[in-house]
Order: sequence, then structure tokens, then C-alpha cells
Amino acid sequence: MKKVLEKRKDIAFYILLYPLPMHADAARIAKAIQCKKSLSLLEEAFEKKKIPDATCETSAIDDNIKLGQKLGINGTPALIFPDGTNVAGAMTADDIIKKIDKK
Amino acid sequence: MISSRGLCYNLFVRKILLIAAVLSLAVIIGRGNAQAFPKGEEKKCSECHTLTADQAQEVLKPFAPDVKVLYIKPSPLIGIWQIAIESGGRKNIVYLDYSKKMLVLGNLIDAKTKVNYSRESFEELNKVDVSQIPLGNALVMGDKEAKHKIIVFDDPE
Repeated sequence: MKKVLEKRKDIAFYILLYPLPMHADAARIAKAIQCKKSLSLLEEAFEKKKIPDATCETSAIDDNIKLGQKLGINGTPALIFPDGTNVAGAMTADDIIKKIDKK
Repeated sequence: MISSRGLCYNLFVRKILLIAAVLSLAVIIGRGNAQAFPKGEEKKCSECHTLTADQAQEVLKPFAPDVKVLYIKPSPLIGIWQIAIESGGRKNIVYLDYSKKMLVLGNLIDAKTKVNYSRESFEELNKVDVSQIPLGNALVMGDKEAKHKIIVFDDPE
């Protein structure tokens, strides 16, 4: 995602935290990140750093899970493009840009 | 319900699809010199073969009793129909040959351009209405007002 943003200022990513049940600690981490709405905390989580517990109560993660299930998302990352196409699995920066420009 | 098994299954199915695609490509290439479909024949073929939604449903029922046929159209590979189906709340693409006896589950890939026709059709079929996705909970990476917004579902672990 960072690579895309470096190349293109007219693209933004709206990240919805979507903990998968197979990752035991993901729901707790997601909640903690959601509370702070912090991208840097998300990055720390990706780097496998320890994330402190959530500092608030939020239903946002449950809402995301419900939404994702409704959309049939069963793996991450899942990208939804402006035209509504839903791509499962990681994409390269070039592929993402190509897909955006195709429209 | 999301499950890790679901994901593994997906990967497994994809692997099978890939193998199937490679096999089908081998068939196409093998036929290249034999002129199985001389120029102009394609039109005739799809004109003299028909497939109704009911017929397609009959063929697919043993695999998925609740199957619904969403559309039928000629596929980029001559001799088979492309059928969009819905079963168990999921939409998918399958192919059926003109004899209605051979079902193909797999990816049709243009050998020259590498365009994956099956995947494109699958994505088109599974489009979502972006305006219906609330983004209040989203963490924004990049310019909030950017022209192109990509929504990402991501697991933090």
C-alpha cells in the first residue's frame, strides 16, 4: 500500500480492521488499534510488536466482521475497488495502479 | 462464518483450477494445427447449439441442489458456454460444453496477453455496491479526499 501511495497521490486506502478467527489475538489487537485509530499502531502490529489492550469500548470491529461476512470476504487482505470489484489476496503495487487506471 | 478451513479450501480449489487451466490450454494448443474450428465456424457453432437456463440447471443440480443460473453466454473458448451460477449465497462461473455432457471448472487464460477471462468474469459477477459500505470505522492511509478510494479488509495479526 505504501508503494502505491508513494507513486500516486490520487489514491487512498480505507482500511477496515478485519480479524480472522484463526488468528487468536487479532480481535484484541484490532480493537486496540481501532480505539486509537492509529496507523502507526497498525504498522507495529504488522511488525509483530506487542500491542497493549484496547483503551475504549467499541463495536466497530464487530461491525466490520458483519459487513465482511455479508460481502463474502473470507480471507485477508481483500481489496474492494471503486467500481465494486472485490479482489482477494495481496496485489502488487503495479497491479493495483493498473486496475485503478483501467476504469 | 469465516473459517481458516474456508481459506485453505479456497487455496486448494485455486490450485486445482490452475492445473485445470493449464490442461485446457494444452488441449487448445494441441488443436492449433488440426484446424478443429476453421475460420468462421465459431459463429455457426454457437448458432446451432442452444442452452437454456433450465437445461443448465438440470446438469448442475447433482453438484448443488440449490443452484440458480444467473446467465448463460458463449465463452471465449469455442465449444463451451460460460454459465454464471449462485449456490449457497456464492456466485461463481462454470463452463459446459455444447454436448451438455462435460463440465469445466477452471480458469480460461489468454495465452498471449495472460488475461484471465474467468477471473474477470468472477470479479464482475461478485461486484459490490461501494456506496453501501460504511467507512466511518476505516483507518485512512493517504489523502482522505483522494479521487480513488480503495477499501481494504485487513487482519492486523
